[in-house]
Amino acid sequence: MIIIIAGFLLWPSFQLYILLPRQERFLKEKLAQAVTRADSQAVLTEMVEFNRHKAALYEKRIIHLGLDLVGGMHVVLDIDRSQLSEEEARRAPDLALEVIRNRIDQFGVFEPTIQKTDKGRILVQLPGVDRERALNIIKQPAHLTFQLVEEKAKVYDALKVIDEKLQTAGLITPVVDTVSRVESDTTSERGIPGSLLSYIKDEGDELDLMIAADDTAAFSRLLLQGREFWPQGYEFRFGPVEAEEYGKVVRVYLLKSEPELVGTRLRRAEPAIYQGADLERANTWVVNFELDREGAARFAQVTGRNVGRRLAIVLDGVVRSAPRIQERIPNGRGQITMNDRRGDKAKDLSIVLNSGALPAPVVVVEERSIGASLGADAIRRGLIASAVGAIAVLLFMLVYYGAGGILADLALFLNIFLLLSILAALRATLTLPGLAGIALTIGMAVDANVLVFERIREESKSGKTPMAAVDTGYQRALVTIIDANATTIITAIALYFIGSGPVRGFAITLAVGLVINVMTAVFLTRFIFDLFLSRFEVKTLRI
Amino acid sequence: MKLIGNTNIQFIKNRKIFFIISLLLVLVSVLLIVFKGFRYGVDFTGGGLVQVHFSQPVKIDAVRSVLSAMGESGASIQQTETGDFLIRVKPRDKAGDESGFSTRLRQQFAASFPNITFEIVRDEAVGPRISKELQSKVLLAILLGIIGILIYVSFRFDFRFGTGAVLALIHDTLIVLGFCSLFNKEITTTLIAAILTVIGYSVNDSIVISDRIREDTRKIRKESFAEVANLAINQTLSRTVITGLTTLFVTIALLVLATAEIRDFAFVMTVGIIFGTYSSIFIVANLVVETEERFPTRRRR
Repeated sequence: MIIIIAGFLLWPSFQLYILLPRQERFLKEKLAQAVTRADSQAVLTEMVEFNRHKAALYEKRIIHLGLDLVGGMHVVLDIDRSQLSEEEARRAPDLALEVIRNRIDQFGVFEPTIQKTDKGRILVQLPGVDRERALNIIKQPAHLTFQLVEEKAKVYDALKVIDEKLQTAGLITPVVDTVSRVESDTTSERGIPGSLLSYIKDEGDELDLMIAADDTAAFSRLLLQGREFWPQGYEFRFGPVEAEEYGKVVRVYLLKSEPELVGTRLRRAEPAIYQGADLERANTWVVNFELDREGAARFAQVTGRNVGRRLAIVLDGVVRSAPRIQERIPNGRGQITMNDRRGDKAKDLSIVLNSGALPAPVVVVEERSIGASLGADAIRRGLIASAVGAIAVLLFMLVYYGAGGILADLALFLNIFLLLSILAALRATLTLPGLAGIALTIGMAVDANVLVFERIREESKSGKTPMAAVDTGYQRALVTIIDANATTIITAIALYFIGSGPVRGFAITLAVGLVINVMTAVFLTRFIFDLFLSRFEVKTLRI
Repeated sequence: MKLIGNTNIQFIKNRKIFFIISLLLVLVSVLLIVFKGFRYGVDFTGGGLVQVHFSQPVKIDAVRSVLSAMGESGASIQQTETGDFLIRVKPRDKAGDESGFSTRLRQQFAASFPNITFEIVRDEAVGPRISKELQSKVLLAILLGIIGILIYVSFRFDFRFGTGAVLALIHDTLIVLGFCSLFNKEITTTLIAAILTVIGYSVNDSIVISDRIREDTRKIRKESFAEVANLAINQTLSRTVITGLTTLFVTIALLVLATAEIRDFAFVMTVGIIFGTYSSIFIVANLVVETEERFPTRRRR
């Protein structure tokens, strides 16, 4: 009865890990061999069905494989609450959780784990994903604003003013590492070495001032020092790093601080191929967006009033693009241009925009990513090692205890079988240490039987009949077995408190293993012993 | 088949020798722990650990120069037996974000080795606050485990056996830690799990013997406590050895055949089982006898 239930519990896991990979290989081969369009279409339909079946299995009671076995990433995020009010800080984890969950759902990860942990942190586990892309999606605050842009001449004047003020305040000290640069720089007449203007490269672009990407840090440091001299109601922002013939550059913008519109009014965003007159953007991906009704009305108003001016689309403080408003835009549609030829970035940005902004920036406080190949290798070698160890134990018991050894081996088999099925029922996650835990249970599982058998040997020696020897043997050993296992379970409970994923998996495996162990080793073997002894006249016990 | 027949080894009479051996072992371990110390994993120190696998052999100096170009000259680089590089850095990225180092490293590798593909096999980063929390959690877990065992054993037996078992497990733990220090094993949460399991195993072993001593003291009333204890150890000797052996089969298989992380785990288990078995045979009962002779209880006359 128990065996049937256990088998029933293990069936989905068996299907998932043993049968499905086989079927998947088969399908892929079939697809490779398909000649006609109709054929491959048929196989594709089959594959869709297959994937649905696989997804359905994941929902069932199965043993999940930990990230250390399948590869993937585990990150713990903390929310930067420094800019939040108390009320906002309290709600932030739930909001962030919701936003991140939405983003990951759209990103399309199989079996993600996204949950709140203690201290308002967020745990995200993603099996088998590209780390960089996933981190981008998770961490991007996605704070979108639309801000009016000042023309190039105004930016130049503003920088000049700041330079002068800083100079009179004695704050501009020629930065050491710029000296060598300045010598070869044709634009050094723009300002004294180390001043804001000395960084300006002005090759070709009529629209914006640009600086070398490498200078961004030094430039913004200087800019921040002169913060109080910025034009009233305006702020400086940079564009993304762009590759030009003469090196990587960054555009400098002067924006009206007060946004005309914020991204919460966004209804949807989607990636598309650029279709416009700009040849440089041909074949690149863009993100088209659409504002909701209220946003569209506001957008129409803003664009109508500012025809001829430029409006910057600012994402997380970076100016993504700053197109000139040609006419009033009534429908609330716009476009974010990107330097993306593959479409990944556009797709990811759309996902991030669609799921809304994080309540505050998040930082990664803990990360564990494991490459898939390491996982595959580890699981293969772990399984081989466990199997070798188990076989050694089985053989030893057989040789050492004879008939009793068969019983112990039987109990051991059942033990592993039941352990796996209970892990499936608990939807436990099997990790690398968990695997070691199973192997260890195998080694220790025979302990109960060893205790019993040794006891029976002793009792037989003192002249008892087999029946009586078995009886007292089991009785005496039981107390010891329970005491011995109870203490190990206490340590398993302690282990569970350490609580990081893999160790927890180990603790559960160990504890469950021990409980089952006592059951199978004591009650099952006893039952068989009794059955055997009552059926046959046994003169001497060979144990 | 029988490995160990009827034995009558004088475990108790020769206890001075075993005490001296154990004291020496513990002393050496403590000295190792104090003076050599441990190599702590990222879990406890915080910081980043990146394991890179290159498709073609790469010199360690090349990797080092990439790191110094990134301004990470303090990073430690180590090559594994499979030729992968393990790169460790101190915690805390400037932005407080621990994922930054790995991201920059990937970019830098891609730029510095344009013709070689590489894979980041493992990537761990733990912020300083998390590592502190983990440290206290581990200490708590170990304390909880020991206290739990002490309470259980004292309740089921009596306090003397409880202290005997706990002293033995401290003995085992110290020796295992000494081995970890000697072989420069990295202390990770997985390793702590192994140590706690050793504790469980050691107590398990001690209890079987204590159980037998208790049973025999009720049965045999003529002989002294020391003699009864000696008999009990001899009676349970074959069980102690066989269980130790079967468990060793598995841990040694893991030690030889499994991958690095499991291997460290198996190493601790193997050492732990050997000394756990040793201590339950030679130390636990002797400690109980020692206290019994100094402070006789009324149970034995």
